[in-house]
Amino acid sequence: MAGRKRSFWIRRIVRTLVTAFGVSLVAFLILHLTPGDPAKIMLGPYASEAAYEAIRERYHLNEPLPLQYLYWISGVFRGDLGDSIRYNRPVLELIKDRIGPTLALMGSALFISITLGIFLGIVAAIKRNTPIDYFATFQAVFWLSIPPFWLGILFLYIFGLQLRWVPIGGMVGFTSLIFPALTIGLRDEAWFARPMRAEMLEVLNQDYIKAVKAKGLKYSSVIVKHALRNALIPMITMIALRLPWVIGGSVVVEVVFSWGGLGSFLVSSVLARDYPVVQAILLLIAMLVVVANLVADLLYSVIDPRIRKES
Amino acid sequence: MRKFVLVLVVLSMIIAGLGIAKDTVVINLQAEPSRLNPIIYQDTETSMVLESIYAPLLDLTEDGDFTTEGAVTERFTISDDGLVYTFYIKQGIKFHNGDPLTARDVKFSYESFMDPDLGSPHNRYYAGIEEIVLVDDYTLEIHLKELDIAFLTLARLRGAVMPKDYIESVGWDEYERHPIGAGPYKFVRRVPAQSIELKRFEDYFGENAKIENVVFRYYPEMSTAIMAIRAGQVDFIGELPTDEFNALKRTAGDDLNFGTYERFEDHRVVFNKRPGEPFADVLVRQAVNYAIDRSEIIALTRPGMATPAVGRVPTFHPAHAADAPAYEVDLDKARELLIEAGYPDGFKTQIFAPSNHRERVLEVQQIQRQLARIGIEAEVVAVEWGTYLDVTADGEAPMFRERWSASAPEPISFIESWHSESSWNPIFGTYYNEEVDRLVDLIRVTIDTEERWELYREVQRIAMEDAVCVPLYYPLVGEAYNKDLYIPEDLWNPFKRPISAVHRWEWR
Repeated sequence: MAGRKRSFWIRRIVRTLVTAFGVSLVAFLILHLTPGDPAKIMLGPYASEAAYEAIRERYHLNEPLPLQYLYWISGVFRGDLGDSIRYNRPVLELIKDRIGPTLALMGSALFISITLGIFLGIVAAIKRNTPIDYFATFQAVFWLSIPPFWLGILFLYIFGLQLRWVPIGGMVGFTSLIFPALTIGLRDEAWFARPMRAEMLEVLNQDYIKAVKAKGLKYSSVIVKHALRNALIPMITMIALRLPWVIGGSVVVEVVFSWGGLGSFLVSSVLARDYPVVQAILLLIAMLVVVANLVADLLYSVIDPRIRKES
Repeated sequence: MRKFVLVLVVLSMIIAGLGIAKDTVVINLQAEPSRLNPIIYQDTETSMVLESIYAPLLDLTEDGDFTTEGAVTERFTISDDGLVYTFYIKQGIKFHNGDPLTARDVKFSYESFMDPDLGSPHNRYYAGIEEIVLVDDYTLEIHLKELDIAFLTLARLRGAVMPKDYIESVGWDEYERHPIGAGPYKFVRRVPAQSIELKRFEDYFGENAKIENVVFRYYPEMSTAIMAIRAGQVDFIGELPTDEFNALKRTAGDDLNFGTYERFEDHRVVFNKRPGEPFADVLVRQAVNYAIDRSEIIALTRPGMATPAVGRVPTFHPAHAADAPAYEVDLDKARELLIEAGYPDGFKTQIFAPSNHRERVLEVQQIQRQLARIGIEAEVVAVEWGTYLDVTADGEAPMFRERWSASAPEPISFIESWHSESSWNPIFGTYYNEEVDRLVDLIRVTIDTEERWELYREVQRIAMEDAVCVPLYYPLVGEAYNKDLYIPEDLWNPFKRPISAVHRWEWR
């Protein structure tokens, strides 16, 4: 049993490492998949030949591709993500300046989506086929159907421009955080509410729930102690798998709200053709996704041993 | 009596409250500025910030003449042979750290632009300098290798005299993070991904800034910036896209001020004139010129915000060639020319535009429809910027949609690519005309301004008879600002621009 468990973990970790390698390769190749001479793209068409040559020298652009990758990846392992061309500063330093706002935004968005999603899922399951259930479904579909870009602008228009409750864009205190977090959170809440409802319904139909009900347990403790605990297990993976989407969604939302995080930094770096930064942020996000997936799998197998046997 | 005093106190407080002038102006930037380093930066956002921090060597008047007003130069002379420029620097000018500004700093600034190790993308403009002689602390001579009438246009330190001692003691990296100049505002701080803050420099050598603080705030999304200016959170948005400018004028016309000015810029379609291409034939090029309707294109992407172009140099400049062939739309004439050229049934070709500029792609699609009227079937090819640069420079694009922005005031860069030996010549489809070569050479050595302007007009007339390109339009820039903000009239001008003199803005 212990051996099988170990081999499952090793297999998962090896698979993760392979994925991580692939991802790093893609992030690295971004610069070379873009048509045109990288040095020209980075410096613009009007720079001097000496300046182009300096850039090629600095990023080893004259070396064969595999060698260039080795230079880059060994730098990554040393914590050297290169220098931003646009700012002439280490990429790591720039990312440090901007990761805080992104984490704050993601954290608040996840908090909103998880609490609201789970709560609405439970309520909808308990009150199934009542107006409450229909409302929960309706609002989930509603938030899912609105493009986050448009929802963000709508929030700013109503609460920023018309009502003047919040500042328009920027990061000026807590009030700035509310609507970007809601824009991501409300959409993601829908992702959690529907599966939560389904899980709850399934659990509530199980025989053991009937049994505890028959024992005469209080309804609330049937729900919380017996049903919820089992229904929540699949939600752990749901949340971990949703994490990359939260990051992806934050890119657009950060731009709309002038939120100075990694998402808007990624966009502006793409526009400025600041490839070292683009590569670093892509690598960071991709690694986050890979790790989130691994953690989801491992957590799941810890909570529910059947997973290990089946795989 | 006590009550009376109380009322008086309250009243005076109210009046004082009303009297507190706004002391900050917030300027929108669409992207975060790059490196605050005059010799390195390539983005407009950085130039918008640096204009307030630095004092220029020379400035321009509304008419595009050089002036020492607002500049660190007291007066300057150019030797009769045009080879020696002598600058007499004003005494008593201070940098933001209190150091005096002298001719040594000007010399250092020139040398920084020229230093290959510092890698300025502008260093080729300084390649014509033979030596820089420090005559005394306030006098500097620049000796050129050969006569260059564009020297002051292209090699004017980008408006930034930099502090030698400070940079040498802290190094360039640190300097970029805390730039120091002798301009009306000093750098306070840079909030990552948010804003740059400036404060009035009280020892400025000119008239002190009227507004104490300037904040440059970044709004990457234009719709957000527009809501911010409508809510009064932003006071100035420069260089608005035409559709946004017109929409804002319609929806918030009464709550905001608007201004426009022309740009030293032209938009055109370039032909690949290499042998073997259909556009190697002047008749075909003329036919295309007659088929393209400029006013239709302006109505499509820049309604009210552009003038149809004739030749290359914009209308406001004395070197504009109003009498160059304008090729007003004439489809019959166009068809005749095509028949004469041996294409009675037209031909198939391609027209390229960079896909990241939406309005250029739209315009090219319109041109496609216009050319179809005379039987030319032009495929629209919108490609990514990097590809666009490669394809056009390699001569693989038969036609492409270009924009050229020139340094003021000397319009040499508009026409120098026509010279067969210019490095720009192959990039813009090659062109050879003996007379044009002779005129461009002559322009380079003609010191008399009036005479030179006439040569510019002449060269444009000849090149346009050759239909070297299709001039489309000269754009207008539209800017929106707070109703209570006063921006002097003379700044709404292509040679000055409002952003270049924020210290003259005022709250009213």
